[in-house]
Amino acid sequence: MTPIGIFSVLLFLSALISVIRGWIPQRLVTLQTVLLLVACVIVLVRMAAGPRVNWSEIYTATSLHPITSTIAGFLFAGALQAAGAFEAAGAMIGRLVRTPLGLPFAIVLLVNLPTIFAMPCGRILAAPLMPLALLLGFKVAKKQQDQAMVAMVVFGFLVNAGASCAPSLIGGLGLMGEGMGRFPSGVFAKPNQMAILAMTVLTMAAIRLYYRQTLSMRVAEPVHDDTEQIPEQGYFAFLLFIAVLVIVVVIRPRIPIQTVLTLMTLVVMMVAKLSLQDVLGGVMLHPLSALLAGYIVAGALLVAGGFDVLEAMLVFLAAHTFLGYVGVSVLVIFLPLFFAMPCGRIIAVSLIPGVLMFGQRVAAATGFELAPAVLLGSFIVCSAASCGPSPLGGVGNIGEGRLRIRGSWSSRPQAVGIFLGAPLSALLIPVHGVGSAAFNQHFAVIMLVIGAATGAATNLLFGYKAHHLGGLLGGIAVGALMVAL
Amino acid sequence: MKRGLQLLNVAAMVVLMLFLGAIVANGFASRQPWSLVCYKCKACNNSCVLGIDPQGFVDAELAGNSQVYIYTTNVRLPLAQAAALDPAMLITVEDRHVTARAALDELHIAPQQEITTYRVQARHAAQFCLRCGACEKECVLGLPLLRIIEKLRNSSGPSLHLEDRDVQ
Repeated sequence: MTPIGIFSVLLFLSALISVIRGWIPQRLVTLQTVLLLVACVIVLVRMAAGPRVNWSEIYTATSLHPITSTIAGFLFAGALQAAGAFEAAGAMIGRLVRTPLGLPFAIVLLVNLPTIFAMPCGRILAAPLMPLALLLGFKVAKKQQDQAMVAMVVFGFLVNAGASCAPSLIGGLGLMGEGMGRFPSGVFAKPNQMAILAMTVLTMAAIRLYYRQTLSMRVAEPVHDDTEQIPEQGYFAFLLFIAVLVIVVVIRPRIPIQTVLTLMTLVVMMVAKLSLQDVLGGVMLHPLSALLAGYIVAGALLVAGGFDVLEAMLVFLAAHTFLGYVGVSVLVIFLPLFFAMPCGRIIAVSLIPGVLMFGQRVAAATGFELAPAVLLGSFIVCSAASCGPSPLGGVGNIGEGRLRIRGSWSSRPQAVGIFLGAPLSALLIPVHGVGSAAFNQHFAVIMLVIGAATGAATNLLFGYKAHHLGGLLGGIAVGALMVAL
Repeated sequence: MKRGLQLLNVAAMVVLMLFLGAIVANGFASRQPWSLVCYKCKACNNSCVLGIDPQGFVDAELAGNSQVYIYTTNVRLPLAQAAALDPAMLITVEDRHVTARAALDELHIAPQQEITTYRVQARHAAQFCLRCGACEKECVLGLPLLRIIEKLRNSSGPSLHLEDRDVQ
């Protein structure tokens, strides 16, 4: 633990709080500029004080994958939008709503779709499905005469999307943790999926029960003409999207998901005769540049020993306070929430060795052999989800931009959802076991029950009776799909 | 927004784009452009008996620097050899991670005592590598990781005395 490390952490935290609190107005200096300036100061101080800086450390903190996934997701979303896929999906949802299943079924299914088709980066599905979340949100808000329901659907969906890289078996954050912790691939996936189900419904509950008072949206309901003829290519594009998702998750081809999305974009462009301009309309630079700035500042913290300071502080707290190793373990699990970065990988890769070390100490102190697995699995789902509430260009920013809500408004309700939902993973990992990720009949039943419970809770949150068929069946369908895929 | 601040914000965006461009350029300059598609999921990490993190080799290529430190948690060698290779190499002593130099000078561990590595430079990890190919098999994208390892081995000077090494 060096003075430069302590200084760098304090500077980073001060800047972060200043941006979130609005003490540094975004209309004067953008978040990206603030982060770059912080990184520059940290590196300059480090250069002035010590031996030469290893610049490569800054590069290694950067992960291209979430950036390229976001770009590919935006391009594909643009193509789907221009081809009329969302109108087609809207029409299909309209028909579904008229059945006894109603809106709750569609809401439960949509908000949990990113975790069902868990992609290696949540942004892959966040961008293309956002118009659908808005559409459903406005439909239910109109029906129940409650504007807050738009935000409930959008941010429930986004926290789910953000966290969905944890259970992804095609290169998600969970694989990273399992790889670094040397656990069999995929052992944390199912418990983490259940925790994400809980996080989603708890985020929606936090907005409904508490944060709606501070909600101020400046977005109008999208105009939707039911009599308008929907082009056939719209249906084709939407069905192609769903079909490819299923194929990718089931077959897990050894092709980067970015390539798959780009090829699909080209197919949709050809079928719907779209121009490049149509497709580029969906690209937003802000999340991309904020993500890059987040990586750079994380690299600067790495160079200055900022993450070592965090680890040393935790060890000190465990050894010298009443918290002990068990108490500090709880802090460790939620650390990614306190330092919510635009990509969970940033903090995960830096702290997983420390998490494992803590797990071993807890196991030694308590005799609970699964402690490292429980700690790591919960830390992973928390890290993955932390890109939702991150004010530094996290997934939540996409929703705030679309709904024209004050920046980082959604951070708190999402953080509440994650805080209350993540412990479910800790509870379920010992039940699932860490020997193998193979199908577990006993656990499948648990997944169906949790699915039904979240479905019932969604019913209640959106003003329906808890036993409404739509929410219940939707929840069971979500649980069943998670068991199957 | 004032003109000065506007310029500052634009400059920040340009720096970010240049940073991104530099990573992509490094990927091509290393003649391993496929390294750009790595998910950094660390699935490969699970398979290495020496505890090497093969994804670190990809990082080294993208950073254009073979001296990037990567996790290598299961290689044993005499402390003197570790310190001679790289005094800043991190090794595991009981449950702490210290540099090889600190282990000699501050903890006064005997030079001939065997230690376990923790984080070593990518070029040294490439020398330790058994080239069994388990990491390639485990990669969700099937990336040819052995190509980078071969390249790092060939560019990292004289071979290490591997006979002194043991797998824990």
